[in-house]
Amino acid sequence: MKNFLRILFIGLFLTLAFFALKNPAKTETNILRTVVPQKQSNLLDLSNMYSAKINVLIEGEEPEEVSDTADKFEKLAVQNNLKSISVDGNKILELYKKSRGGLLSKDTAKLLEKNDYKKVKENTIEMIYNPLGFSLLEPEEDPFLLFTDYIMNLGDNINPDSIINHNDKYYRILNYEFDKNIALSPALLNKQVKKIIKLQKSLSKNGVEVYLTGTPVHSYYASSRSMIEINLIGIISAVFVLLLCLNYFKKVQVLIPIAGSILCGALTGYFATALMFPAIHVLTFVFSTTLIGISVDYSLHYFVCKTEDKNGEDVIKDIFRSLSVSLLTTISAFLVLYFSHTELLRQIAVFTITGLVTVYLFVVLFYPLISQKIDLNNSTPQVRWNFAFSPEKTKKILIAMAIITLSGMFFVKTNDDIRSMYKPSKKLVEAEKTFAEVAGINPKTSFVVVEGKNLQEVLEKEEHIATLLGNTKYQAISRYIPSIKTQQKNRALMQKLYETEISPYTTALSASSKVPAGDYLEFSKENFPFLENFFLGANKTLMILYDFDNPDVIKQIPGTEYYNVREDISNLVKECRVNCAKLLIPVFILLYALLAAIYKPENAVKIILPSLCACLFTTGLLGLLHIELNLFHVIAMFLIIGFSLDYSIFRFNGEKLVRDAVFMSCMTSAFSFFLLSLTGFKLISSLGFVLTTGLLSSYILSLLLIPKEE
Amino acid sequence: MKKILLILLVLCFSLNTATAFGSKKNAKEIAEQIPELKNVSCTFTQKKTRGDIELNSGGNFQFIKDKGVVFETMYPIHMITGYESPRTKHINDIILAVAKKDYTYLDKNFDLNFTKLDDRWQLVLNPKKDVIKKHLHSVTIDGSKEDIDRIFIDTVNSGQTEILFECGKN
Repeated sequence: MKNFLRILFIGLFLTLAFFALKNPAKTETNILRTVVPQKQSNLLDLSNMYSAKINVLIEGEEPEEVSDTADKFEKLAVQNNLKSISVDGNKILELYKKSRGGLLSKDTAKLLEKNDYKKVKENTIEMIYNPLGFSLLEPEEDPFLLFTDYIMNLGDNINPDSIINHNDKYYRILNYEFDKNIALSPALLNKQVKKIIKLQKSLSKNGVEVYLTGTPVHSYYASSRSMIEINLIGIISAVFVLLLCLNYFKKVQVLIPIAGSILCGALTGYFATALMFPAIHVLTFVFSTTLIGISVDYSLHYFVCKTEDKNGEDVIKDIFRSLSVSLLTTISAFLVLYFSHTELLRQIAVFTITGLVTVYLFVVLFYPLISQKIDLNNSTPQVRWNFAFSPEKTKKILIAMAIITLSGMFFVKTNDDIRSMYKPSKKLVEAEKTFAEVAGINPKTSFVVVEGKNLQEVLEKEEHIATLLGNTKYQAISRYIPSIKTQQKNRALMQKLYETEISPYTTALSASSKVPAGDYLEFSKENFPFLENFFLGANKTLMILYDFDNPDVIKQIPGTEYYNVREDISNLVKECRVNCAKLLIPVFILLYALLAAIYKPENAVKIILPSLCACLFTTGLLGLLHIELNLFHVIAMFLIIGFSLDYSIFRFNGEKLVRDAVFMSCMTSAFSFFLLSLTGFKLISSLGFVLTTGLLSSYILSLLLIPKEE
Repeated sequence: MKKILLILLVLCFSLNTATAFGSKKNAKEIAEQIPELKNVSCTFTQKKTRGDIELNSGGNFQFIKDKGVVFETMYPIHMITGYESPRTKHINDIILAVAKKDYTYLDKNFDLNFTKLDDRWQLVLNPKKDVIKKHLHSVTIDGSKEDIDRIFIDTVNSGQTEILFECGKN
């Protein structure tokens, strides 16, 4: 029978591997995908808008130095696949000229609508006398200089080529964008950014500082730092586990089946997740490394109980109940995550459940065979780590923990700002701050997504929104290409002006009294490539608003959606955090019901209490340390339950020797998570801190609340 | 002997013409020769000519080294045109680039001719890019020591503008 099950296990594993590897799942790296549902794809598109853009800020005491460095950077950047964001001004100006009959600046159109021709003429005279003013057309072609006025009002305040003076220093800003092929591949992008950073370092000298900002730079530093840290943690953790096992079992061979079971579990977890989801989020892998911590319990449990006088099958018989109950409770905890609406949590659930079941089956089916080959010399079994506390000490520790928990609860604060999950280096923060100041970027940027049946309807909607914005500065396609309806209206306004105001001034210049005919200005990718970034779909565009604080007027317009990316994402993170926290209650109820059915209700309380108290204690400690509670702290609570319930179950069920396994398991997991808590990536360190505290406290609580005799 | 004198005369003439009529150099070399411009407040007179039409105006002028120019026209109309105005931005950017010695910007957009005779200097900017060439023939800036005395803007569509400055340093 067992052989049949073994063959079935191998068959199932290979079938899963075949299908999963046939259509391998993509890896998703966008952190927002963890909380933003697919239906909110606009939000993801908005956050991805700047993913391939890199800004270079050159700072110096003297303008000549800045200019010189900018010159060098520009020349070298071309060799590094960076293409500058440029506009063919000549081509665009010619297109505008052809359609000038329908083009009016916003202010002039308003004056003409009010028939305020006097003011229009005054403006024209001012433009003529303006010492630095000039006309883009012959006076005969544009007697009121309306075309020049329109074009002059299109530009931004900062000339992309010029030096900016700010706080007694001189700056040049260079904007670049990576090719799409590079931007879509994190590995390629990082490789290119590395070259640019090298360039930055070589040019930052003699009083000139080159700053780099933008998403690719942050991704590069975050991923390089994480890689170094994860590798270091991996090595230290492995050495720790190796030394612990060597110390206990005196044999290195014991690590081979442990590693085999974990590898098998991790692969099955990956295969199952790859088959169920089109893309696996990189955080699923990060969280699922905790699988190692949970599944190593089963192996340690087996090997601690495997003495010389017992064969493998007997050991399995002895520990079968403990292992099965432990598996059942852990699966129950993670199963609840599967029913959440958050894709990341569902992926973690699938990965962990399938991984754990695999490790469980691996231990039950294959360990008796494997252990025949390993001589453990465990002839004189004795408990090494048998901690016990006197009732007085127990009372004191419990009171201390209760005080920390209760007092900390008063200081618990939450933080759902996704930016708080990642803290860039001081230098990068300084670079971003200086760049925003020099470039005059308003940090309060919001977006309006406008949708229509065709582009003309979209442009008309944009123009309607623009009338509601007051003095708010904005960017939109309609600023550069008015709708045909507006162009027709402008043409009529201009014609009326020409007809009414054939003044001596215009006749003297033999100006025509007819508005020039010409095609209406329309969008095409070939003519206006720089406007492509405003498109989110064929008939879906984007308006960027700066410092706008009256979104309600826009939200009422059908076919438009208003986004304040930072606020919207924070709201989604909050929603996700609250949903996760709410799931904790049914998880505990479900686990209690399960344990009550197996161990009687009063024993179930004893088993579940350490995990519950560990979660509360950890929350209290976070409050006391003024660490703001975030989504990932809450997710970590599920992992605490998954880990720590095993300790209680094994302690409650097990023989004395099992206590060593529980201690070793707790130590290896807690040590790994402690190392994670020291990493620079806030998200990972949050998880590490909570799990270290949770695991240690639940282990201590299991010692205190489940006495030896049980 | 006559031959030597002739050679010397030719040499002297070549050197003089090179200095007097300007030489095409790269922007960096020229930027190094342009004196440091200081903040000044002046009065200005302006003459705009297009064909037979001549428009005269005048008023107060201010040059703020790190920001640009401000013209307060006092006659025949009163108006203030600051460096922030989109209508003056393009020419203001050119003057600022000269003041800041932003030769990357200058080199990208203009061919430069610089001449210097004693304290007097002249910088002529001829546009390189088609988009500017179609609207601007040249900008000439005349100065003495650290002051700008005259700006001459020769445009394609709006004729010529000559601005003369009478300055007293701030």
